[in-house]
Amino acid sequence: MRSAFAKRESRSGYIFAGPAALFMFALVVYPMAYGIFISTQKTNLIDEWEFVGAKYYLQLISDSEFFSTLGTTGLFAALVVAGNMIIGLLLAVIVNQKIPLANFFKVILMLPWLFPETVVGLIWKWIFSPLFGLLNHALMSFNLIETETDILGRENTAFAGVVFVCIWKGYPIVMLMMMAGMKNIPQERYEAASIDGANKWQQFRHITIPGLRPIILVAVILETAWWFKHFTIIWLMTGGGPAGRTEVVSIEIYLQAFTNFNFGRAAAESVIILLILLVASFIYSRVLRDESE
Amino acid sequence: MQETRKRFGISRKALATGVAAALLISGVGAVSASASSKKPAKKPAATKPAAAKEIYDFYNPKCPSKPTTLRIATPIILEVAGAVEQQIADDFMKACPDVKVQFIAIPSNDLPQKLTTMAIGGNMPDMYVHFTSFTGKALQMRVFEDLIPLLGKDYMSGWDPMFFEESVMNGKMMFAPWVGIPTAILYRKDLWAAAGNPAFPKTWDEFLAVAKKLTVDTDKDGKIDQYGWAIVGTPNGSGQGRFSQVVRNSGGYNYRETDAGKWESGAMTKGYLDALTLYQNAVKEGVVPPGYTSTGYPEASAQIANGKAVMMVTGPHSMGIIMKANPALDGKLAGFPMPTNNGAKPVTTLGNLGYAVAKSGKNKPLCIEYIKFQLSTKYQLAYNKIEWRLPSRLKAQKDPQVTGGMAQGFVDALKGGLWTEPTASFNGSIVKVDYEAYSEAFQGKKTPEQIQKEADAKIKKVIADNS
Repeated sequence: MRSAFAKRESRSGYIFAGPAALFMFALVVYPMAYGIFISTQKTNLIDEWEFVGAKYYLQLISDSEFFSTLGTTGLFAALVVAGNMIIGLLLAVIVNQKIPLANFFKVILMLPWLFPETVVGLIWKWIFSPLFGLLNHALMSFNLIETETDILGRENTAFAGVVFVCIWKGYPIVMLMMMAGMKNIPQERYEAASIDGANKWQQFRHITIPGLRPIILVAVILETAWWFKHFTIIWLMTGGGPAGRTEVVSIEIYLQAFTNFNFGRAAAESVIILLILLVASFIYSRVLRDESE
Repeated sequence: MQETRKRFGISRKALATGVAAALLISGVGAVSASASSKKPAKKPAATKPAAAKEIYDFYNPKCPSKPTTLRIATPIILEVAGAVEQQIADDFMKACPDVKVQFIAIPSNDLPQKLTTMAIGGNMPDMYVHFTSFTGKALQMRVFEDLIPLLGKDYMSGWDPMFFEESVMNGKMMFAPWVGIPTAILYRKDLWAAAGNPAFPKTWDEFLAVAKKLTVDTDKDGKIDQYGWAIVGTPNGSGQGRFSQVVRNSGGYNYRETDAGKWESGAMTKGYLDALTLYQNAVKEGVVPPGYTSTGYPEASAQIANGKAVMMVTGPHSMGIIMKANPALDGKLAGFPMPTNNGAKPVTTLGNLGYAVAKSGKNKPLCIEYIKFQLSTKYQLAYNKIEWRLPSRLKAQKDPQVTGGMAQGFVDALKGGLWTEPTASFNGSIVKVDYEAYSEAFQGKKTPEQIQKEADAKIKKVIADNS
């Protein structure tokens, strides 16, 4: 039999964990469960509710356009995450050196992260504008182009344009995480490596990167989840165009829900994205953890 | 007056017949009958017995006895005519000091989405501006109050039947038509004259030829600085609405409801193909300013205002925005009916809009007071004066201010015939297919036939998924 003390302690545990559990339920479990529920309904979310089972999931797995959108999203997320990781890490290493005005550069390099996404999207849309944009004006002033070029209106440049802007917006947070991670790498390792004759690249390769591996794992998971479902900048810059070349899955979900009113299908798409991201996170954590072990 | 009736192609007899038929079809009789058999609902103060004639040159509202806030979701407040909308609200608040009119400003392209989220969140305003393109969604969401019993059947006869009929679906009046914007080709008269006053194009081929003629290097620096056509190529309702006009005026359609009540794709029609070909050729021929895929309605208007382009597919309201940007263009703007292809008659949309009363609203009697106040002839004409929009009420239409001037060509466009956007709830998906199709045509990598086939498959899939 459990003692009265053990029972009391157990009750206290529930009491202490209760509020947090309630918050978790209200803010995480309930919305997710509700999303899954909606994905099984034909509904206008007001007064029309009809159970359709897995209809929308079946529609989606036989929809080549949805897979094409997923492909665009995957490529977009991969390029942006890779760009953020490379540039973020590179800049973190540079500003971590003992260089003059390092703090000033840190602040300047953090600026893109401080701008709201809407501002970033609109500023770059204007910069890229073929009629009024700064970029075209500059290129024409230096006689690099003869006529205005419509970067966001051409299918071969629009995708690169939004990827570039998203990297510009996203690298600072990676840089910040890497800088924090570097502070945790003992200086003695570098000193020992230096005594052993390791050059800067070897130190980076064999001390910095392994030391940053936990940070890289977290950054890659967070970044992938973030950019895979990114909406704002792309929507503002191209609206998914031209001709669907920048249409990522979040735009497709938005259009399904708020243009086509097909909330059930939009919810089903969201659930699929959730599953994809869960699988991606699992794979990342296994791969990176295995390597670090 | 006679001139006005002629202008709209409506005789007095036809008008009376039209109104009577519309009332019958719309079920006014049924509403009256049911109203008489039931205990009457609390009548709104304004539905006083009204004569069949238009009596509201200026309507004096009946005010509530307690402080009330009237929330109105509107894109107009953001536009040139926002000054008139605000003036109406200010005057109403003067007439009813206990009333506070609060506008919720929403850009027109975002209005359906915003209203959707408001409806889902149970936060609908008392009234909202209804475009006919929102009809399908409003029907699906059942967010509007039927205005016929609230306004009273006598009030209905004051509307131009064209406007009235578009506002009534399944016997219920979804919104109180305020103004219309018939689509035509707007052009700069001064730049047209500078090109030697070419004849107005009757076909789209002629349109392209004229656009070429108007595309010139005016300052002779070796670079084109004036283009024939300010094309709206953005992937949204503004771009698609104009593309749809070209399709219709080429004898085609994107989708429609058959007599059997089924939806069918029209992407394989010759008109749809011709419209895609026109868009592709316009880019190939260089008659549209660079940046066409990101040229929305404001940008295209700006191109007309600053002389960067000469023609634009639009309604008379654009003259307001253009003249705001360049007041020197007063008297230098005009319109002509849309060119056609394949023997099609020039047709246009009415661009009918007005306030709808939300079903969930708590101030419906006050909303009705406001609508009658806002539809006073005085304000209809004020709106027309600032943006050339066509008033919906017959009394205002008869005013000489409406009949002449720069808006004449747009009014003429109504003579060919009207068409209304289909009201399927999945209309948004068709809009997307359309704008993907013309965006693809802009790219020039696929032939119009290929794009047409893809669009057809997509439209069929949308229909199948939603049936």
